[in-house]
Amino acid sequence: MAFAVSTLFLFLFILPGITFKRAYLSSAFSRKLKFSGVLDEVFWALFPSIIMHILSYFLLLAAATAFQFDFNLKQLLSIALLQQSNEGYGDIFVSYLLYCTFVMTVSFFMGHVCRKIVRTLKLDRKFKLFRFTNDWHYLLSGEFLDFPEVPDHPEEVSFKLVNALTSVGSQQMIYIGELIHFTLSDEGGLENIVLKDAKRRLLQDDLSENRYYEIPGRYITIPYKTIININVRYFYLEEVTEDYGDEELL
Amino acid sequence: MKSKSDNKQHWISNKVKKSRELVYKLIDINKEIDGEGKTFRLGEKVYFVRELG
Repeated sequence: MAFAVSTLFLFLFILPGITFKRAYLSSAFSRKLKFSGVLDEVFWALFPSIIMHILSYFLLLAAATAFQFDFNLKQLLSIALLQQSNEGYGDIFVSYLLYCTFVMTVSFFMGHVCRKIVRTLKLDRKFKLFRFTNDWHYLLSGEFLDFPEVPDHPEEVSFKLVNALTSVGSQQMIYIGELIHFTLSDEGGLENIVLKDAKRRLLQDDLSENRYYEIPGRYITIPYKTIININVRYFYLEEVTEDYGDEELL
Repeated sequence: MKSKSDNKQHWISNKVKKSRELVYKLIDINKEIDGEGKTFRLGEKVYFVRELG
């Protein structure tokens, strides 16, 4: 019995790490949690847990001083994790549960705050360590251009041209148009893309003249499940005020 | 470029207001656009376009 309770207490101790990880990876472009091995999972649960416990300890110390209540973490943890008798657990169970709830609340908010910091400072673009799992977000938003190995900057992007090869029945169709919108799926992939002023043609018409034909309406949604492959090009576009001779222009 | 990157829905705004004619023109000449850039005329306006990345 003592072993079972001790295990429960130990699980509650590492739960803030899991809470932190869930909160940190809760945005649409990082939602999918991949199992990366037992050691890795334990490390990424334990390491943030310890940090969250330390942070919560100082928060509770400050709160205890400000609001004049008794708080002794050393005593609480030594009973919770090292107690041999069931009676000892009974005495501190509610206190330990309240403490863990507080740490998990702190972990939840810290997870969201850390993600905001990483996104605001663009650390996920600069360092692979901070990069989120859904590559589609980086590719289709143009943030991919901010990766150290890629020249140019996403701030320069003013036009994204997408060639999407899709499967329509037994035929293969190519759509080309300006990418203006995309939706990421809960599974960590892509759900659909929206093209503006798109044209389309059958893949088999590759060599024919005027092979593209226009699509009525300005916007077309293409479900990802119909896409075989996709080619994204980023363009910088500006209106030029200087005079150009017509022979220089396309 | 501006995107609501922390939202599941990703809308992308662009600097130059692009008419359908301008987009069609870019589609038509896209194979000729490279990192050096190209200048082209559409109606009375002249544009410069360059491939990034």
